[in-house]
Amino acid sequence: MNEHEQIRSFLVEQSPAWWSTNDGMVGFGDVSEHALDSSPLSPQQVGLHLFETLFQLSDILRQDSVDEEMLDLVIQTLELHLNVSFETEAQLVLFGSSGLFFLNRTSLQMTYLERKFAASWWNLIEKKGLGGFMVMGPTHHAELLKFFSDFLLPGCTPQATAALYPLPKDNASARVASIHQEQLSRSQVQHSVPFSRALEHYAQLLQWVQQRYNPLMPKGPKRLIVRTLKELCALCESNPVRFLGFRADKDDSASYQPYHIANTSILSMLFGSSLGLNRSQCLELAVSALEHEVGKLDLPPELLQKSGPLSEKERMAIEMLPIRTVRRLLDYRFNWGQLKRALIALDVRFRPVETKHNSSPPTESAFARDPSLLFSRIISVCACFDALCAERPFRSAMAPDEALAFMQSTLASQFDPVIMRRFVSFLAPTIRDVTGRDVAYVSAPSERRKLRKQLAPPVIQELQKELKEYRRLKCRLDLSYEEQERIKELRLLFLEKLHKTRSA
Amino acid sequence: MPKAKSHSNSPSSDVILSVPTSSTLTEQVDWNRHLFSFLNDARDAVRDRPSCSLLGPYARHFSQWLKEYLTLFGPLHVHVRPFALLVEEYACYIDESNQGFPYRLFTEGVTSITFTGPLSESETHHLFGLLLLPSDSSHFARDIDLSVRIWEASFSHVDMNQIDAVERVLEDVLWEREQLVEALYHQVQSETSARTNFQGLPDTIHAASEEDEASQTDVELSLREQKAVQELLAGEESTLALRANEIFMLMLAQIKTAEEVEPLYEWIQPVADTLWKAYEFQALAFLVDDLLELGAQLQPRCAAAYRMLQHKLLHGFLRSDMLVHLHSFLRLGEGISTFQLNGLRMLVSILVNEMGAESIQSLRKAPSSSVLFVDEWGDGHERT
Repeated sequence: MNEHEQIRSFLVEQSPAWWSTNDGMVGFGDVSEHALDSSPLSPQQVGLHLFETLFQLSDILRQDSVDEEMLDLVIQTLELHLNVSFETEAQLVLFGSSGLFFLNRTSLQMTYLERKFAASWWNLIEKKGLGGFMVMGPTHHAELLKFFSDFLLPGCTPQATAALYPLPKDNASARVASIHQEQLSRSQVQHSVPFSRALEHYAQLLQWVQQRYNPLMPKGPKRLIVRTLKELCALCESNPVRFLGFRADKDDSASYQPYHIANTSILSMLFGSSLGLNRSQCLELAVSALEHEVGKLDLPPELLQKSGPLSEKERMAIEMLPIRTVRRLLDYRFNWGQLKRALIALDVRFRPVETKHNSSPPTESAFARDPSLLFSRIISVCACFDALCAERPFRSAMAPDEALAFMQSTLASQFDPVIMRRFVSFLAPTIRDVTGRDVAYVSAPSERRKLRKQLAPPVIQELQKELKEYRRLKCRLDLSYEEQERIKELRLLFLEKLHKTRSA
Repeated sequence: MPKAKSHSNSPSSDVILSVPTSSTLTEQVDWNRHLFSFLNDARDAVRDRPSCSLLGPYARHFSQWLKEYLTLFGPLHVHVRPFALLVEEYACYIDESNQGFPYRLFTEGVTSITFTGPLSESETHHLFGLLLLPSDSSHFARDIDLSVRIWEASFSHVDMNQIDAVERVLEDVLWEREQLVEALYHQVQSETSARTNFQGLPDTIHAASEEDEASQTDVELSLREQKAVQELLAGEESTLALRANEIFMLMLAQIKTAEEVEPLYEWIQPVADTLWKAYEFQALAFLVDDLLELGAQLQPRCAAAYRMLQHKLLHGFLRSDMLVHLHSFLRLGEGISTFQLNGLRMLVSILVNEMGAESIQSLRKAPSSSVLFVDEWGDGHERT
């Protein structure tokens, strides 16, 4: 039996003992066959094993007469785990703060009870002014033994540990070092530079949209998406951020869609902020933008990237997208926020605005004349801009200034004029920076780039007006004969519309 | 300043503020304990009956004491632990439930909260509401983290230190993310329009320069425009309940068989509950009466299923918690708008029509002033 096998068999035998709380010992994670393999472990696994080992070490060191053999064995196991991990990791940083524990940038997942124990145990470390330790490269058990003996001994003071194991300045001195609590601020351990953090958050957002974006997904991840958006919002609110959107490497629908959703969400949030929306509103806007096209999940990908003309059936399928989105949003998990997002999604489309809006110069009061929700109008503009700037199988990408000019000319009637005007002034400085041209002087692009987005079914567009009238009449007690007839007429009208929608 | 110190936290009694007289450390511990006792008491007060109105007195006292505390000791740093809040190692607030706010904040990565300045009474009330009331107690609850809700509230002098990575990050997910970040870096370094992305964010840990801030002014809205935006949003919020019906109208069109009607309950019931609790009776009446009747007319084969669904929904309104809520609405008296009265009248008519004597008996459990109100409608409807 070689050394590794000896360790393995010993720990597998001893594992139940480590879990027992009768003798005051508590273990974390499973001592599985895999864990003792020489294959690299994930940071999650390494972190949990490190914790387990630290528990064992502190317990051994706490005894009056230290069991040297046991201590040696545990240290050797630790050495094995660490050194195997260096095949994939440049360095290992285990740190904790207020009961949250991380190995490098991975949060160590523990059960409720484990975390409770860990927090109380880590408190002892914190009392020494320590926040964790780091290992800068492959190490050996003598070095580890010396470090942990000092690190974990009850009598060890922060000053003594710092003197023995200072944080190396050049990565060339000690390979194991303690980290002090003051070094645990986000600026030291985590990516703190706002620009880098923004990129990380965008990647996080993109990843969630790519892999797990689904209104039916469990509560946790959905909350984390909101949190990522909040982090981005918090970063951007104190800085004048410019953003035109990232692009997928490929122009297929699967690659395009997540980028489009993430871009629309961030663009909407930034644009919303420039319109004076508060934090809560900006966040809600960004979340609504994330979900405004979730009905696309029900459409075949080949339809979404079809380059030729659409058949009648395909056109109808695209027209029903808002309804598909609503169904997705309200399926199974209802809350008022979801309902609001469903209403917003229902209104997000390129929709004709009455001619009178275009005939007179836009004013602030024009806001109130548009029947769709403000968030829908903001998202419509942002989504359209991002879509035009992306390469699609059925048309080439436009430059940002071309897209904006196209929206102002060819699609002018599709958007709220006030929102459009604001959107142009919001993006103009950024576009000027990119192209060196002023947005106002760019002519509309050629006809071949005609937008193919379909309008929402007229039945949806008219519904709001009729419902309003119906409800107004219904709540009145003294109805005239004509009004009673009108109620009947409206009911018939609704039925007819419902029939139409069904057949669609 | 009064000399005596009162440790009574009864919201009805006047709390007398005093300056510490013994050594600073001891006094600070006393102050911590006393300050957070208002939070403790507020928690006890709303434990069985979560109601924002009950928090008012405690919040007021907390706000007053916090102001004094800050004057004496400077910023108040509160460390968040899974089951406690610590100030200077002293556990000033303990909650061992994993539903308590310390645990929720802790699992969301909040490590500490700092009160850098005084909080107004309304701010404190809002903060207490966020911390102590269940997140779904609001009629329009949103499914977001507590820390996000606190951030959204933009409290004037509350800073939170929060660690980023609290999610479960699998190795391959992390690897993919790093690849994505690399690709994004590549894009911002390219000559494409993506190079402008997130420009403006400092690439050092320092804050944005004044020059950067100045460049934003050309896109800022006038106050008039901002006001127009906020007024529009407020107007939209007020019509949101009515617009909920549009969604269900579209859903009805999707129903093809009687079996599909029953699951509609899962969608409609939470909306109906929300509308009831928000006193949006007109929208509710439309939802449970007109819409379902339209559905039945649309598909006569499903008429029986729609009737069943309607009966089930109406029956839900006679639950005790729903009636308690209705009674608190009726107590508002003059605060009730004509619009709401009309809506309630429609709803009571429907209830009486569909549920008969049972509904009237339930509604009569209302306080005396509203019995007449309900009787009038019920009888009126029966006469009709």
